[in-house]
Amino acid sequence: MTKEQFIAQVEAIQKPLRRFLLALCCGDSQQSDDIAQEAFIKAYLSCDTLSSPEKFNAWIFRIAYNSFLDAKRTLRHTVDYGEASALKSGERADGAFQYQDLYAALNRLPAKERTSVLLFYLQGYSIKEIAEIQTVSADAVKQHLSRGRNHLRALLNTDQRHYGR
Amino acid sequence: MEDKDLQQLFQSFSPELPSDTFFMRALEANLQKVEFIRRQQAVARRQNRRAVVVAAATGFVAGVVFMLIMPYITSFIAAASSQIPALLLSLASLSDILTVLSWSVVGIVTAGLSLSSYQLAMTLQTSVTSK
Repeated sequence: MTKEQFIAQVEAIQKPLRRFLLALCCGDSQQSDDIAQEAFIKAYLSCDTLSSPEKFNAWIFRIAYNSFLDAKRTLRHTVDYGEASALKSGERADGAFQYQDLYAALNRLPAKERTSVLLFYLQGYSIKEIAEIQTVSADAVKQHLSRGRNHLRALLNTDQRHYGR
Repeated sequence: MEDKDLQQLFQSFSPELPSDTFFMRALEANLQKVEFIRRQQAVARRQNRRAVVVAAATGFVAGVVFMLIMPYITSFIAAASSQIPALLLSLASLSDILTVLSWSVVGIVTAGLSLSSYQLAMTLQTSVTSK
């Protein structure tokens, strides 16, 4: 794959990937874009190993997911997200806080459940595709998805009751 | 919250992302750096290959030269050991020891010449490249 072909592929996928990573990083756009950059560079370095161009999107998501796990391992949180999310903005129209509840709920999910839920609902990937991305079995994905879904529903319902919506 | 509510929630999820143009520009700059490093690595690999060929050729030539002069060395050793008093060591064992020593020296000198020619070849190539 030439550099131009690679950039063309990236331009098509960068927005959905960055949106996925933004949700995965619970709203931290700087971290999500850093991970996206790292994922694309890793993909460029190993683009010769890609057997078929049709699998580019799933392949990129796998690299991005692994990059996210690496970043999570090395990152030291200086502020507990739970504390920050407790500071509610009174301005509902404020774009920066639009998805605060969702991010807070996603942050409470383990990484595997969060990833499975986002890949399924946000990106529309099938169980089999998610299993390839996360390099786990389909049964494991079903389990993560089921737990993640229930967990997320419970958290979002709690938020709704708490804030009287 | 029903499952379809979750689906709707994520379908309507469209957060404001930082600028696409800025992101792609940063990525292209990083890819150019990757290309630069790749080119440098390719140059280093070519230089190394040439230096190894020079070192191998030097080692081969040195080896052939020493093989050709070895009979003269061994006959010199035999003549020299016959001059040493028999009390010190038996003639046969002294000659054997000196022969082994001389082969060891040949090996060390050949290896040294190969290594030096490798380093010289690398230095010359690096100085030519940097000009």
